[in-house]
Amino acid sequence: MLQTNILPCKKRQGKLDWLSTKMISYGKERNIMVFSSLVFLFVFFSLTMAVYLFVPGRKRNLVLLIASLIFYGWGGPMYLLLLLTQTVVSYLCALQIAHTRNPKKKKFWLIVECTALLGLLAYFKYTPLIARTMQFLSGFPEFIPDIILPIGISFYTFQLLSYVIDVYWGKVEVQRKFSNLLLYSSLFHQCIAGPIVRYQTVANEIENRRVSFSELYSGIRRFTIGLAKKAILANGVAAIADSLASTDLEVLIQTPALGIWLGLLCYMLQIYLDFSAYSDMAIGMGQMVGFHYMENFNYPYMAISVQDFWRRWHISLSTFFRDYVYIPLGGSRQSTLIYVRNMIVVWFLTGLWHGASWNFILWGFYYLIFLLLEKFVIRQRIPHGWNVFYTLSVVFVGWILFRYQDLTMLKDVFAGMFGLASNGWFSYSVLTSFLSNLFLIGAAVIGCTNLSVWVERILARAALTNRFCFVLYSWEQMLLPVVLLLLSILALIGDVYNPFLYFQF
Amino acid sequence: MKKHFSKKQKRTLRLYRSISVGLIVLCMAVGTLTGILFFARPAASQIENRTLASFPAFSLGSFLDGSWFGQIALWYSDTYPGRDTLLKVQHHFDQLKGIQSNEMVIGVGQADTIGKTSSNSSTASKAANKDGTHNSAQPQHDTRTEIPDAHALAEDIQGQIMEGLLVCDGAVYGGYYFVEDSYNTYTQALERAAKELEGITDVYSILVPNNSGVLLDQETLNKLGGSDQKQAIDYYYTNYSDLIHSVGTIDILREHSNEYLYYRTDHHWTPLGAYYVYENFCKAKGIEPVDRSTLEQVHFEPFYGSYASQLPGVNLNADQFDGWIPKDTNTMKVFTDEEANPGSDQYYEHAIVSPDPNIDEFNQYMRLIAGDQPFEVIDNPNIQDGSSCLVIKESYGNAFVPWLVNNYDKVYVMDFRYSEVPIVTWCKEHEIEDLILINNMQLAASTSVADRYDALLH
Repeated sequence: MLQTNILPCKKRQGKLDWLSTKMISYGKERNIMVFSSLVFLFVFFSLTMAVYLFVPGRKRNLVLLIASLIFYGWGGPMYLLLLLTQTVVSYLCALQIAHTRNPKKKKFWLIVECTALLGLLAYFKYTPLIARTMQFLSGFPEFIPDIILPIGISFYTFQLLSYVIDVYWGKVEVQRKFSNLLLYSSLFHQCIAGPIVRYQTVANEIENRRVSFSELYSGIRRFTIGLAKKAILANGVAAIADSLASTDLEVLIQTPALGIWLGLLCYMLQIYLDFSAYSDMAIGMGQMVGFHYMENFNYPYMAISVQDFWRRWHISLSTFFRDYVYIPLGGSRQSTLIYVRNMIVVWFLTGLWHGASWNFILWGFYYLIFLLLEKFVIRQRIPHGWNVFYTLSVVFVGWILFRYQDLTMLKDVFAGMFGLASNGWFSYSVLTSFLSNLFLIGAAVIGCTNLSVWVERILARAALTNRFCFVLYSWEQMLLPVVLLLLSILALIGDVYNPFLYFQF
Repeated sequence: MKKHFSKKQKRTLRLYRSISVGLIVLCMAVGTLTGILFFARPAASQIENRTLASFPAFSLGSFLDGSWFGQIALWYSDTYPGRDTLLKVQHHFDQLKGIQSNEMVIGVGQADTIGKTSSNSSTASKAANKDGTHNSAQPQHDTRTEIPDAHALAEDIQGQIMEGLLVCDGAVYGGYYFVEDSYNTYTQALERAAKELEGITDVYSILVPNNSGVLLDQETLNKLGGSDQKQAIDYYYTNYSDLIHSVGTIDILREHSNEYLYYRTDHHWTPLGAYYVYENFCKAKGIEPVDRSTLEQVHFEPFYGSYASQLPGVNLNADQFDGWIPKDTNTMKVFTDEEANPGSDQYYEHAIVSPDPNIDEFNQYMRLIAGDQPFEVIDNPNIQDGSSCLVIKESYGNAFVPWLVNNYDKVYVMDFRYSEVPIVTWCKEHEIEDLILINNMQLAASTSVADRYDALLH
């Protein structure tokens, strides 16, 4: 606890001070090459793009494939085997489905695909949860298996499933070239943190794509916006969230109530900024080489209902469950009972997808309750303006369930939020923390709204007729990406705190 | 109403966007090329005062599980050329995050309640006996066994080095958090050592408060939170047995609180602060302290210490360094092996208080006994009475040791963090007259330090 204050007055000569080994905390439990890192920007991405641009067009997929495998292998080359296995299985199953006209055989290969991929996902992701639950209920097994979750398995498993299911449904042509399918499953833009790109979205672009200058610019701009969102805003509020809304119970119960509220607010900002920043960067990098990935977020904190929130949050996941689970089960055009059943299935799976812990399942059901309430009770009776407040309140509490995996901590969190944990309401350090980060928090809040898009649109409109505005707009177009890149690099230089929440999925 | 840009406007926009793309490519190219300037990669960070990550050694296991790559990424960003300069720029931008007030609290600690388990009548009687045991006429601390207040702080910056700090008027004050387990381990370790050394070596305990306990008024201390250092020091001292001589610190320092006792930008005390405690030590031992006005003084400025590194975005008032060179010698032997064998030839000579003009503005405190070293020996050529002391210390002891040189034939210094020497055995073997254990209160409250003492003392 206090060791970190003990700085030796010795110039280190290759001997690390055993009392100050906590001086650097990188916040990275796994060895992931995050987009917001110097090694990604100045080694991996710059070299990949340089080679990509200089090789002939037909070799570009090969460059992207090799780069993607290196990128994925960075987190542990042995996990490449899993990615390759899933891709081989999907490749073969899709070929079998495409080659046969027998519906039973088609179905058989679809079942093989689903069983293999979901089985692997279940093994790697859910075995510890199952074992823990069984141990809790029956005392068996004695030991909980320690299985390391391969990076991005939830994302690429769903991508490959969507491909084979779409082949089964006849929505897309089968991919006969294995390297192209491997490129789809491993493409570093989206392989480890989404968005979940459907095969049909990029099927044509894998083989035929062109990049116009405006798309290149647009991709760069989008990437730098995402990078700044992550490096400056998300990392900034994350530090506040982790200090004030600690997941360490002993620290939490000593935090005054207003501090916990501020911490949780920052967590709410962080989780959106973090994840949407990663999607921005993925979409931007895709655009730079001619891929067009779907939007994954649409300002979810401006939603007017919980249902609206889920239309705007992690859209690629919501639409996946809608298209591959909810609608095949019958959707909403069924009896109320069937509808509720379908919703239970979807929200159980949504919760489970987010993590192998009961708090995520609780989190899924929490949203299910509000969606059902909105459908059958609330409808659209909340007055305009208040509906945003209502939605944000629901989402805010939802993130508390999401943050604290230890369910027994929840009561302490809620007690702490209302000053019932002998923690009081206020302290000088909370005020200090708030004031010294006031503009950062303000910028993060603005970053969660469409204000910047709105301003840019107004400026662009004014630039059509007003010379001054045109000059301003032109300079904004020129300088914004550069400034954001430079500021992001500066923010990453210290690089002491660079977590990414969604890697756990 | 016009709905699209004219061709001329489109051309202009394309030009500006092309420049933007060009600048981005340029930035990336410069960043990439800078990254491969391996010769320009720094090995240490001056402003963070630490050694930077080194390139990882390869092993098949670390390769397969990806940790080797992770360490390469760490090395790449940690040693990026020009990192310190860029960090300085970044820290300026950090100040734009919010309203930077003249006074702020950073970080949190967790305090146990002092004395929650061990107050009893026997300790009170021990305290009553102390007067007769010590050479000093008056006890140098208040006797206290009651439970003092503990103020909880409300913030913890996870994994950061800023814990429980108050920034006020350009100076940083460290917090203190009493930890019951550490207290128990620490005092029991000292007690056992004192018992084993009874009749051979006198054991002195010096617990030094940090600057907040001495310089801040109660109202400001309440903002910082944590535990009361005076209460804690008194609690430690009161519960020592008669075998341990406690040296008063906080009262004497408070008496001189208008003097330059602590640095503003560093977590250490100054040699002047150490002098007043040295006077108390002499009083406890019954010897005459040296008159510092008779000693040669060195002065250097500016000094930006550890807090300046920890809080780079905060405006702090620079410090200065004032040291006093011992009267009889300014040379010592620094032994670098862990054996702490004074007969070893693995040593080099170094100044006790270094007047070296090349020591930079971040490392002024290193002027004192060469910083933290496993083992040092100082032989006073003008005292040949066989008197000796072994000082067990961390960096707070560095400011204290030079004063002792004026009173002992031989001063041995051991930094318990770097040495593996069994202290009690070593004292017996070398017939050490006084064993002096000097610690900053924050350190004494650390369970790892207490455990280390427990392990090393025997």
